[in-house]
Amino acid sequence: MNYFLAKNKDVKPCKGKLKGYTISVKDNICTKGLETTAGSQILKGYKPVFDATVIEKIKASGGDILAKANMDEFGFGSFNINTHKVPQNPLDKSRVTGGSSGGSAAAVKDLDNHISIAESTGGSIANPASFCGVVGYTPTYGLVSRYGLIDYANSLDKIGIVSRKVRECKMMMNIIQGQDFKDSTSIKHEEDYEKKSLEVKGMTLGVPKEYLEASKEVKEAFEKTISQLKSKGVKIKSVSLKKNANYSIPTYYLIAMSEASTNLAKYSGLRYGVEGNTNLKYNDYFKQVRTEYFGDEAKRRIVLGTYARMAGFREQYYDKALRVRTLLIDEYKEVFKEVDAIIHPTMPMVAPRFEEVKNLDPLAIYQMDLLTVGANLGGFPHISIPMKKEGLPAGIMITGNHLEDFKVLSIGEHIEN
Amino acid sequence: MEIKKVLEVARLDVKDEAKLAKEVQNILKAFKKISEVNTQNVSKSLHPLKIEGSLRDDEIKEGLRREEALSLVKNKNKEYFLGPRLK
Repeated sequence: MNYFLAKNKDVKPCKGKLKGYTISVKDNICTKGLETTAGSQILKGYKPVFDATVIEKIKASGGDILAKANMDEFGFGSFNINTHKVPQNPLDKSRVTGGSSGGSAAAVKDLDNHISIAESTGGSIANPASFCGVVGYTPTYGLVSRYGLIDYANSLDKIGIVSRKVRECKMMMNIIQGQDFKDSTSIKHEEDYEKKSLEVKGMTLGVPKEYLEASKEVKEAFEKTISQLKSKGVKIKSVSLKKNANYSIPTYYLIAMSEASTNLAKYSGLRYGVEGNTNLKYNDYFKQVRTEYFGDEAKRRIVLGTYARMAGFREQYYDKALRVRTLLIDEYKEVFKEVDAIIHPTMPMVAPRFEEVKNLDPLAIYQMDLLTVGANLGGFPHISIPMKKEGLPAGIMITGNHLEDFKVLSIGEHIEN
Repeated sequence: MEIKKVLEVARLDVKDEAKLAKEVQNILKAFKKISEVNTQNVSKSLHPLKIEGSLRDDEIKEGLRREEALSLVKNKNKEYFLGPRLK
């Protein structure tokens, strides 16, 4: 099903807390001696000489890495079809896994006792978790070190966890959390995520009225979940995220693409990954490598991001998006004054078939991310929990205020049960 | 938009320049929607939340060794990576 890229032939059985599990890690997280390509041909053959901080922590807790999980090239995609080896959804091979952490979600669905370390920039954990019927947790920005992560967009990237059960996310979060001097954007905040979950009775959950446009089957599953929550003493309140509904997609993509275009400048056929022909003229050397080995979506995003940052356009695109981002974060913060967390469907539909997405216009694909980008743009913790019991799966997404990860995990665990 | 100029800055070539230009134009036109938002006196959010930089003490520690770094490539001599000639 193509959910793994490089496999570790010398993998050791996990010990300690992780005994009985196998662990995979998204291919954009560096693993010492194990090929790490971020799903891109430009990094083919790259075997890092160091482990990312999260990998060091997993190894220090008795774990080892079984394989690298497939992904859209550099995280650029919502269906994991922007890669040279497209993974299939374990529940229906004619359907996508979702993306960009498609390999992580598919592996967790297919393998028993498996946990995958994934990464989200705009929804890349929640989206495939919803399509594959597993749990996908994205922590508050900065709670987990990004050292050793191959950046897509530094101000948006978060390392997180895909598992079958919320308790496995809690266990892994206890292992990988913590401030890291190697990542200046990591936050000083640690807590015990494995303690007993909070009671949800008496909590108020907000349902954004703009986030309910979904297919009939997803809507029905969401409404059923809402009534179950009500019967357990949870108050449901209709809230509004109007600004996010209108502006989060362009704001997110402008920032993400601008940051990506600078991050991808370093892939130049020197030092690691594929190498260029040193007989070529100076600029032709870089152009040849980048033209041959970057995929179409990577090129599109580099062009868009380069343009949005160019003199004369920067103020109206990149700088403007950074200001709008402030207003979008404020809108979430205002809602969190009234509710404990926000809930809505993770994706507006079940996993689409390959034939349904292969000819979609790029803009149409970007617009499908509406439900996940707001939380990601604001660095808010969120989790997707399978909510649809019959037919193909769909997730419910729970978003909390900054550093309220434990509350988000608690609500998730309650819905799961 | 001059797609040629952007491609040159980004050191890229594409098979179908006209198709890419059209796609990029459509996307930017849709993204222009953010110009409707009044952002007067609104500051920029470079990060989603306040980051208190995690600084370490200025201690000397061993970094990546030269031979480790050079082990990743074929284009090298004894001490350096080899790239294209400037002239």
